[in-house]
Amino acid sequence: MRPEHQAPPEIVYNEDEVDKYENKRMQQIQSIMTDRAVELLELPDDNTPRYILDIGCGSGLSGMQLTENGHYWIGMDIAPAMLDRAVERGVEGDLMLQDMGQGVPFRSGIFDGCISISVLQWLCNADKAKHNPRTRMTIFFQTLYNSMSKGARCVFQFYPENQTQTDLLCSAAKKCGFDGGLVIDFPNATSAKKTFLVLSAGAAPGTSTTFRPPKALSIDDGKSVKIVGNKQEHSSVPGWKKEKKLKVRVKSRAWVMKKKEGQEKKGFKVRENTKYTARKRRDAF
Amino acid sequence: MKLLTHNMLICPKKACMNTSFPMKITASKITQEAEECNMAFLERMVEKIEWVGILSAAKDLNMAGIPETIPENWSQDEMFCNALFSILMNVEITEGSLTCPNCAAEYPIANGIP
Repeated sequence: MRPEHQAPPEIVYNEDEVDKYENKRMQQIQSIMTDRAVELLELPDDNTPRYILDIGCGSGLSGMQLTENGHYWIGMDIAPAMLDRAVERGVEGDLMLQDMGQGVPFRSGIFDGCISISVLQWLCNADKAKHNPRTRMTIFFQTLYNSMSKGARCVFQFYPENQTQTDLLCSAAKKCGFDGGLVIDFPNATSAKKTFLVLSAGAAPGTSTTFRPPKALSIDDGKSVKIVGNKQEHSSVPGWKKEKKLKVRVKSRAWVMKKKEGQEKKGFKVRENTKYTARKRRDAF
Repeated sequence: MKLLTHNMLICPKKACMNTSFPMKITASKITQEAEECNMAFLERMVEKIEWVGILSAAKDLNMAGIPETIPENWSQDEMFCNALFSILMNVEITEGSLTCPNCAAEYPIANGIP
């Protein structure tokens, strides 16, 4: 069951859930996704530390990755238990307890980038009676747009439940002035598939280039998935189709032998194999 | 909460957006940290910092010796850079609250988290 269906985020991410994030594998996945998100931010490579906003920072796993890359960051989350763990961990960045649906409370034009790992889908929920996902999205994207500096990128890794959710988020972001699109890594895999919403807040000063979505990762890295708007086009990736299993014709000798082997394994009495095994009887007259 | 963050914060309410800077700090517990001055970062951030915010924070926390405006040639003055960086990054407000100057809403700070 998806965690979004269980309870509001501040309740789901309690002490027990926080402990799950101590898991080595979980941490590895988080750090890989953060690295990929930072890569998608496409910050200029000049070794200057940037000021980055981490939405849904949780226990600070993604933030630690940012610190490792030499950036400074502010983390925002709705779950107090997660933030307390982040403080225990002694993360470098500053933390805030804030619901993203109520907006991003920062002055305009201060962040050089924004990342968010596995959070955005929560915005589609209405956990309280007064919540309206559409208005919450608008408020969120509007305030986020304001707090971004010109040309800064926002990268959201998220798990959309269906196409409607993706469309809703994309259209809300576009309405607020963002430019961007989806990047889907490993679109044909089930668990490795990762959806990134890459948004750019206007064009950087001095450049007039329109937004070009970065390349997605695919099974054989060179070929990528092109994204046009919300539609996803598969380029022909050789070998992405699973090789078909060789089918054994029913009642053929091979099929019968396999059956017999199986039966024998289960402990049934099976007739010995002879040259007559699975041979067809002559048609009756 | 670091003072750099305070310098960026405003009240999230729609009506207060433009008028709620800087937020008033009431601090009951402050810790000091020791991190070395990162010049590259400081240079980037100075463009974004509102000096008014620093002055008001200094007033709220009873810190003295901060100039009224940012001096010219500040990047050559090593003393000043170190001092500014330590004010921004090393002063950590762990307990207290923030008050919006417009709507007077109070946001508590607990365990360093506003």
